Amino acid sequence: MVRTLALWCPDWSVVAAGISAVEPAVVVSANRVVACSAAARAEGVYRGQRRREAQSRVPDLVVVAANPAQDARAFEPVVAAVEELAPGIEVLRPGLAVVAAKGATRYFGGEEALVDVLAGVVAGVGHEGRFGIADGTFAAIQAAYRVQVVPPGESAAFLAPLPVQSLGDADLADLLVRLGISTLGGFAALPDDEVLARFGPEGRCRHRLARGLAERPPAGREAPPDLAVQTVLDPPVERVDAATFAAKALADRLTAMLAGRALAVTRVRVEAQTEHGEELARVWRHDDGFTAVALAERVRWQLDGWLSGTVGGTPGNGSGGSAPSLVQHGVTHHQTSWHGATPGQNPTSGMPTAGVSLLRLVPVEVVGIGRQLGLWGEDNGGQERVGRAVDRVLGLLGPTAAATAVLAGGRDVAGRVRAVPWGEPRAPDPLDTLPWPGRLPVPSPATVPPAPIPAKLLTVDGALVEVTGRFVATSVPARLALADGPAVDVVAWAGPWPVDSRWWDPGSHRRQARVQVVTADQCAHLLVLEAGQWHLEASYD
Amino acid sequence: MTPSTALLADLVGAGGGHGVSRGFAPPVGGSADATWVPVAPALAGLLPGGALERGSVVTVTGSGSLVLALIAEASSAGAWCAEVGTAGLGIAAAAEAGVVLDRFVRVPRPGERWPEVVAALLDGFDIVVVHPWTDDGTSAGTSIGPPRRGDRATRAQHAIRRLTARARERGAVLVATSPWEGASLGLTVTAQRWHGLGAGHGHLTAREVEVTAVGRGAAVRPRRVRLWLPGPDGRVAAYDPHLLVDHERLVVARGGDGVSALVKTAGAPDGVGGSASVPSRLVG
Repeated sequence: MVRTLALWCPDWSVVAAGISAVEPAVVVSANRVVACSAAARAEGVYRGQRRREAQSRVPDLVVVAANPAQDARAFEPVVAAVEELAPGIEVLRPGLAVVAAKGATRYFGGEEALVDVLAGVVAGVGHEGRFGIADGTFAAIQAAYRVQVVPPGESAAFLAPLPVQSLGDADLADLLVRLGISTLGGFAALPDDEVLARFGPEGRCRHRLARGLAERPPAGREAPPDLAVQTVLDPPVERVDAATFAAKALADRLTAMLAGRALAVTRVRVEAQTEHGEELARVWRHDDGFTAVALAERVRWQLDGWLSGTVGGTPGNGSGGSAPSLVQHGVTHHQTSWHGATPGQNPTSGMPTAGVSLLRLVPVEVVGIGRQLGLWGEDNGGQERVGRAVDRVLGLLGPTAAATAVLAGGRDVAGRVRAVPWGEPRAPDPLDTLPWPGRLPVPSPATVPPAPIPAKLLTVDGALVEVTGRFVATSVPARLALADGPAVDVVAWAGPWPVDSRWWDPGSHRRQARVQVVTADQCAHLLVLEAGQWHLEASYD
Repeated sequence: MTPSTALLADLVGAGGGHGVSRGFAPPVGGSADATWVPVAPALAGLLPGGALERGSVVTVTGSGSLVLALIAEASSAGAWCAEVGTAGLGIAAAAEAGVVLDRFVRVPRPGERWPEVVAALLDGFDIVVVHPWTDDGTSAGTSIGPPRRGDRATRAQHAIRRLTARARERGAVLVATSPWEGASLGLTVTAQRWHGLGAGHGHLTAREVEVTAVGRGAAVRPRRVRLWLPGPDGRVAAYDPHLLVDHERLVVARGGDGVSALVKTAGAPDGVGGSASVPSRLVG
């Protein structure tokens, strides 16, 4: 088992909102308390409580809406500071990170010493960090909650008296308690195969945690390097909102690709490169495997942390509702530190000085997923993907740039097509199914130039072929010249087919004669004569 | 599809069963395949692997109907297709080929930002068809994007390389209708002959084509396939000279035009005579 150090910043959401621990405050999401300050906790506020109930306990309670992006942004300097001493840190969620302890322990001459040094570093960026060291991630996190260094090999014993709720699986904990098992030790004592039979693979994974083992048997494997996905951001992204788009697309791509291989990513390295060649990287971890949404969120948070690290950010002062203070345009090289920490102690070694030009997601560890994703709703997923792609195009070119087409009633090639701007309902045109005498026979021409191309349909002696008022050709077409091109022989033709439409309306009255021709090179065209001028309307290529 | 061709499709189509409409094999498995995009069986012989490989770039020059035939099977199987550029594919022809118009999005005027547009579409669509165009939208040029000159030419080259990589990355198929550096396969109609049109009568009904595919790797040796594009029944099929005869015979059986003209049609190399009476009625 890998000696693992966990960093836990208590009540992180509250801290990130800029509220001091002595102030009674809660962070709420959907009217439930998701985090509370120590002062609030002392008054009997707890996580999961209703907002109203918490307020009734503490009348002057400061209530702040949850803002995960702000949490992540605020956490980035802490992680960056710790990373300087303990490379390879992995963020599990804002406020909680783990890192392999071995190297740093040796460097600082012992685990206790390492914890002391790191606590000092975190204090240096203005926060309180609690550290724990144990065998494996889960035990280390539990140790961090209790500010403890568990000696090697004693993790199982350390975990044994902890309540089953520590596993973080409410359903499983509830079930275990009803079965009379209230501690991790009790759960760990159950035979492995029985656990698998009764609780399934997920239950077995939790069982392994309770026994102080790694989350899963060593099946979680290093991802092959070709699974990485990246996107070049051109122009470089300096704004978080623009980065968000890239993050979402990239996360979707990675998860979709992995899902295609029946894999889920449990550790992912978010890498970014700036215009100035700086490389930024941060590993995020999710032991149950990231979903596309969760992954996109992590990437966005990370970018947010990096990008807003380049600007002078002043977090909201407990007002909670205050928007994250991102400078929306450009990048300043003026860097101020986070949370009013001493200037000059800014953990900006990882902060970029320019926009992000390349974003890459490297799956560090993947696991097989037992279930098949996308069995239903596959099409829906495709449609969402398409919708986003088209929205992007509309963003580039304007709201009417993309369209689908419906076939409409009509006789000529262009008239049969009605463009429906993207997003508008595609009602089938009832006129299309009606008989249209004079409509062109199938097959329809496969290529329709955007505008008719001027043409000359000539007789053997070079005169223009004309059509009489009764739609009879005056002479046999022998040669065809397109635009300014050379004339080619016509080997077969038919027509002229008359179109005399809307004769009752002088404004839109059109009188056309149409001819199909096949030239010597066996190219077939549809020619239209209108007002004495031949045009190539479409080609049967 | 006119009622008469629908009837023919029923009769000519496999088993003559009900529900045989325009289109090819019934969609199996949708567009879920991570590696291949299905094509009509008649075209399978042109492609290494018998289908369009996701992430590849295919050029189809000089034939809109070949583009449509190439994407129709995937479209009817649920794939989303996009078309960029002004030299538009005929929508009626697309519908006849079996392209589902609900899932066929067109961006006719991408302008200067065409690389971004194509890149964005590659993110979401299974197949993206890229045409050459000009800024004023009047006529089609011969190269992708606006005419290449100097700096602009280099930019276009860059964009083409980037988009090739993008397609590969996103697993989309990029179909270009003009030369594209880095294309893995190029399809061209090398020979063709139309049937149905005579000297002043008839109308275009069917076309025999010879399609040549040249590519890289496994496809470096040119493959040639003779096809009906479209056949007398309006469908793409492997070339079979009897199909035309059978078709004409069916028309006869259903009380079509005179026997002598039809035999002549089938036999004559230039396709003389007409089988349908629609245009002749229209002639003055």
